[in-house]
Amino acid sequence: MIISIRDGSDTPIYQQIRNQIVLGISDGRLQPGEQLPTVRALAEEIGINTMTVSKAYQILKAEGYIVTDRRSGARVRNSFVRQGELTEENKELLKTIISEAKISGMPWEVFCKTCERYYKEGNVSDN
Amino acid sequence: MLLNVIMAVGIYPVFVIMYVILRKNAKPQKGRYFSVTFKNEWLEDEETKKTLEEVNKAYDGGLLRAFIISMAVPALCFVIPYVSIQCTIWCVWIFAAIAIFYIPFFKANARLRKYKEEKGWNVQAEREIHVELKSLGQIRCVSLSRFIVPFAVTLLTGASGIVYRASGKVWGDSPANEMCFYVFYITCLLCMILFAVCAIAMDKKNTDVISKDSDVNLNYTRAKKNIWKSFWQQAAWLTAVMQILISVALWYGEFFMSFVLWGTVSYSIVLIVVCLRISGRLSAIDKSYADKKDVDLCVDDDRYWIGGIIYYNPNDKRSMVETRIGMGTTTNMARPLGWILDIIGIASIVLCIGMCAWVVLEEFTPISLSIGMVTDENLAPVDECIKAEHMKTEYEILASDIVEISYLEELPKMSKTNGSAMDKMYKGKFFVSEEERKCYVFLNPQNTIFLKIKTNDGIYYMSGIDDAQTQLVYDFVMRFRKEGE
Repeated sequence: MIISIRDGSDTPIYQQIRNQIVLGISDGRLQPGEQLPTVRALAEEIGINTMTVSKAYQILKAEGYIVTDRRSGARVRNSFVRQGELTEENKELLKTIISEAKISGMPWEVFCKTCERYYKEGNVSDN
Repeated sequence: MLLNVIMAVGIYPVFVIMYVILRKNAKPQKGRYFSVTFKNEWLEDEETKKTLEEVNKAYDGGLLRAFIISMAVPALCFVIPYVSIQCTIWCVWIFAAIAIFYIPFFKANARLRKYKEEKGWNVQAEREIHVELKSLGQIRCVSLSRFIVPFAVTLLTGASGIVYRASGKVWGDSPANEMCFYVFYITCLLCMILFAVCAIAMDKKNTDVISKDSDVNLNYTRAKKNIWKSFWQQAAWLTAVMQILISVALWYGEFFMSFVLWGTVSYSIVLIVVCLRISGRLSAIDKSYADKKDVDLCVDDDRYWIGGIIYYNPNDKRSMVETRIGMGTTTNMARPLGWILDIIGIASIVLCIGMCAWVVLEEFTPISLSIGMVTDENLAPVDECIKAEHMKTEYEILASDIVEISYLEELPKMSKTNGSAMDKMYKGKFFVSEEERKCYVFLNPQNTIFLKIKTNDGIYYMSGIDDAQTQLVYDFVMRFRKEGE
């Protein structure tokens, strides 16, 4: 799985890493139990501070996407907590997206179809 | 002559390799033409196709001219009589030729960048990095143990020769052979260490991202790393074989030097063949993966690449980045480690050229003998002496210390063990065959008369700036000895 990091993006780098790993898990490019690179290796390869990668991993761990172990490093969780609904934060985010779609004149059916496609294919690649 | 042959054997193949490798720059690498990024849709434009064709043609011609110039200039060394000037030409030319080889590339890069600017295709994109998350830094092909056997063979082969010598047995036929053997032995061991370090450093390189498919990236990286692994192992074994042959050659003392010479020639040729083979295999890998490469992954950050080769990006925290042309890494000149490494590189070149200038100065400063006075701490004259001067006072021989002085019209056979031996100057310690010992030598071999001075400290072979000066010193010593009697 490839992650792409943009220096000039408004999204902080740790957030970009976190988002892309979540996308990778959702579309199956990262399998349950799969080993993630070490903080140091990933930081060196991207050319950023180890703290940035560490922060991304901490968020992923807190959100329940990965588990970290002192010996084996970071891994994708074997099973996820299925709450069956969005978090409050994501609900707010979705509200904003729907509002923007509304303002831009996007018909409801088209919006639903777009959501359906992304939900089924899980191929959102932009940050 | 021997120096020129050795230098030609060592350096001409480098120019051939450079020509072969740099010719490949005419082909697009990672979606870039001469280090300038072109999107797929731009390449469909007829004008772009024509421009690329013209640039390619100009590059091929320029590279061929650079190759001919680089091969022709050092040939001057075969007609210039002075060793120091020959050394300087070879040494300076290695660096100059590298710069000359890259001139066509810089021109092509500048032309394409200008073309992109004219077309309004200069995208000021932010830096984007693609990282293969799967098996990051985990594909390892090199094992250090593979280098231990050739290293041990080299170490033991050389050491066995030294042990045999230490036991008092005859070894080679002259000290020059012995010195040459030691130099070879140390060089082979250092080469072996260098090969292992390079192999491990290249093996640690992270996964190349050429496609959105992880399996493609992993297989491509593994294939390339395996090729590099076999190259470094072959180079290590080749060095071990060379060391064995040089050790064997010691038993045939009289042929030792020619064995070393032809051994080095053969070593260079085999190494070039191995290099070309590896280069071919790497090209084959690239060819087989060409249709799997994803152009979307190519980031347009041309503005950070000066001349398409030098990377300067203050926003990038990495000190070493993947090079845009060829293989390997280059420094980020905007980072402290980057410019420190570059300063070290430039300082080494300056030092090398400075050493050549020193050798020229040494060869063209005439040696001289004079009669002087040795003074005590109160500057009161103590004794008369012969002063041998060449850039500084080299020897002071008290007249009263001279046991015997003789006048030679022909120099005995001698070989340098420590010092300088040039067309117009022999200076240092030389092994003199007829004395069967090391003697102090300070003379101009182009003179026709020389002095052999025996003292309690050893034997000196000397001459002045010319025969007249040598004669004056001889007359002085003879007069001094007569007065003493």
